[in-house]
Order: sequence, then structure tokens, then C-alpha cells
Amino acid sequence: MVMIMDNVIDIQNVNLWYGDHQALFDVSMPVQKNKVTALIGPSGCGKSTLIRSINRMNDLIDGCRVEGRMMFHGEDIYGPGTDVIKVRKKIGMIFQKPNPFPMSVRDNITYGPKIHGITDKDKLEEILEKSLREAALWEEVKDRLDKSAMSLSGGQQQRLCIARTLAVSPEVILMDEPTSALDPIATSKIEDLITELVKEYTVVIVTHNMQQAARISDYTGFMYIGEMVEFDKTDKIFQNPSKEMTDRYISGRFG
Amino acid sequence: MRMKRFIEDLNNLVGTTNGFGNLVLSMAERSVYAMNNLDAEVAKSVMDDYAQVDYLDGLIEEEALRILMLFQPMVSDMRMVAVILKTITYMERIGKYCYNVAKAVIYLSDAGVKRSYKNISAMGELAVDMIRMVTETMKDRDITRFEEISAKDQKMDELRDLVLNKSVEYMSRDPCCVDVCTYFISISKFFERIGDHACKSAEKITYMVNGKRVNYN
Repeated sequence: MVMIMDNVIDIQNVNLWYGDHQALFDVSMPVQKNKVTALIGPSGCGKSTLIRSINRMNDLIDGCRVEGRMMFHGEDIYGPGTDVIKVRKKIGMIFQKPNPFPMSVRDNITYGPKIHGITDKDKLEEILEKSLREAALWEEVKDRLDKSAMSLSGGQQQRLCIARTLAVSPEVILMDEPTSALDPIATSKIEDLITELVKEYTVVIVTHNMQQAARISDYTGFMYIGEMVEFDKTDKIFQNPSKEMTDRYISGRFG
Repeated sequence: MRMKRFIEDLNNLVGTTNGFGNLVLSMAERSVYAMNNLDAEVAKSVMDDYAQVDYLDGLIEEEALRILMLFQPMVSDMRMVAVILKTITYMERIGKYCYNVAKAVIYLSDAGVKRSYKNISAMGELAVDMIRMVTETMKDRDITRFEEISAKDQKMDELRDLVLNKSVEYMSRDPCCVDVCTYFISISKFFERIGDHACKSAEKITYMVNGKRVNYN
């Protein structure tokens, strides 16, 4: 798009199949550094498939095949020499339903760093506090770090999952409908958090909430039946999109 | 269901707004006729209609805000509701200027004035033309109509200057006509303001139609 150099991720002509079923058709999209990129579109349009393919979550699905180039800092995420674990460390993911591990708040956060080889207690404590602060959760849980994460509210659990992702120092955070299971207050906290996070990280978010996409994102891609119909600056997409279909979808005429 | 209700409400809003435009256009036509013919009766009818303008302005605003609250319209729907909210303010002002013209006509008629200035009549015709451009485009979205609106507005400004200069000339020659001339100057000012509001409405309606910001002033 505007400055090629600033693209952390560059998706180029990606086609994706689940067995015989083609789910993505020649999709291209840049993801700019320190920006929020939103993906919108009706259910089944391929936006979750696209976001999941960015950190190779689709590898876990039998018969999934990807063609085209998906570049992360100029290196193909699907290249033969790619370390998938490293990709998923650098590109974290948040899901619709908060999915904390059934363990303490502390262990949820330190689990990732430990897996990646950090054993120093002070270092882990530092990561714990830093991650929880960045996820705007520290003040709420600092006195119950050893309590089960399952005892937190839905909104707190989701922020915990974000903190858990931050603990392994990612560059990009993918969010697949991160607030659709949350109440309006918890939703607004996550939105505020995304606005803060993007100063340090790059965010790609799938959302069904049009106003949310309009509020928090810098760029928006509208997808329909596996194709990227329109990709542009968010203000343009929500005020005066180039394609009639985008206008019709956002205004609720179909989908 | 939600979408059906939204589209119905939006159509009603547009319908009421068009009715509002028709009312203001009719007031402008009658105020110009009243002025050309120094017809106090017709002028009175214009003044009476202002209450309806005030009512519709409030009604449409309330309805538009209700739609924003209930449906949070997006893209072209959002542009439409936002532009309606802006345009009714301009239309209300135009209605008020028609009222002011009518009031001045009644004074002039009571003062025994028998005919108007040719340049003021021309300003009145321009004002009606410009309002008609706005109300028609609100209905059929044919913004090519606005290509001429800047030229009309410029013509309006020139005529206002002519009326002002001529009036000053009359007044300095014969102090007895100061009050009548002052009313004519006011009327020319009202028409000139109507032209400005029509231009601003045209800018907003262009944005409603194609999402582009333009300047017609």
C-alpha cells in the first residue's frame, strides 16, 4: 500500500483449500507495522481462515493447502525452512472465547516464557508484571496471582489471554472476534487495550461489529466468499467505499 | 426485521425532509411573488407558514437522532442521515429569510410603495432557482445540477452590491426614502443569505451522493 517498507506482513495472491473446497481466492493484503488492520465480512467469507493462516494455525487442519506468498518481514511464512514455532511466537493469537489454561494467573503468563527457555525466577516475575500491565489487568489481579484463572470474569480472562500472548514478546497479535463473547464494558476495555497495544505491536482483528472495526482500526479489508472485495483506509471504507458491495454489506443490506 | 424497519424509517425521514424542502421552496416562491407585486396577503401566508418550518425542523431532527440511536447507520445511510441533519438547518434558515422578506413586503406595502426594484426581483428569482436545485437534487440525486450553483451565487452577490449602491444613491438624494430603501437593502441581504445557504446545502448533498467534499461558495 502506501509504504511497502512498513509492512510487517504482506499477503500476496493467497489461495487456500480445505481438501477440495477452496476457501480463499487470490487474496492479497498488506499489514502495516503499528497499525490495526480489521477484516470484516459475512460468516463463511474466509476472514477467520485468512487470519488463522497468518500464523499457520490452519496447519492443524487435515487437507488444508495454501498457495501464494505470505511474507513476514520479507520471509515466506510457508517457506520450506520456516520454524513454525517461531512464527507462532512472533505472531500471537487471541480467540473469540477466552481460553485461559486451567491453572493460576501466574502460571498462565509464565507458561510461554518457560517453554521458550526462560527459567530465571526474577525474569519470569518481571515478564509477569509487564505483560499483565500491558494488558491492563495488573491492578485487578495483582493480589490474586496464585488464584485460578478460571475464577476471573470473561473480560478479565480475555485480557489474561492477551497478557499470555504478550509474555512471549510477539510482534503481531491476531484477534479472531476477541469481544463477541463479552459484555459492552468488557468490550470497551479490550478496544481501549487494542488502541494502546498498537503503539508497540501490530494488530490484525476479525470482527462482526462494524462500529468496532470503524472505531479501532486503521485499515479494513472487506471479504466475501473467499475474496478480498475491498481493502483501504478504514475511514474510506466506512464513509465512502469504492465498491457498491462494501457499502451494502456495511450498511446491513446483506450478510 | 430490523433492516426492514430501518429502511422504512429512513424512507419516512427522506419523505418528510422532501416535504420540508417543498414547503420552503413554496414560501420562497410566494415571498418573491409578494415582493414583486407588493402583495401583503400573500406575504402574510408566508409568515404564517414559518411555524410549520420550525415544527418540521424539530421533528426531522428528532427522527434522525432516533434513527442514529436505534440503527447506527453506516456508509451511504450514515451520509444520508448526517446530511439531512445539516440540510434542515440550512432550510430552516432559508424559511426564516423568506419570513423576513414577507415581513418587509408588508411594511413596504403599508408605506404605499407600489413597485420593487428590478434587481431585487432578479435576486428573488435566483434565490428560488437555487432552492429548487437543492430540493430537486435531494429527490433525484442528480448533482450535475449543481454545476451552475456557484455562478448563480456570484450573480446574487453582484446584484446585492448593485441594490446597495443604488439605494445609497437614492437615500443621499432624498432622505425621505431612507426607511423604504433600508427595507430594500434588507431584502437584498435576505436573498443573498438564502443563496449562501442553498450553496452550503448543495455541498452537503453532493457529499451525501458521492462521498466527496466540494466547495460551491
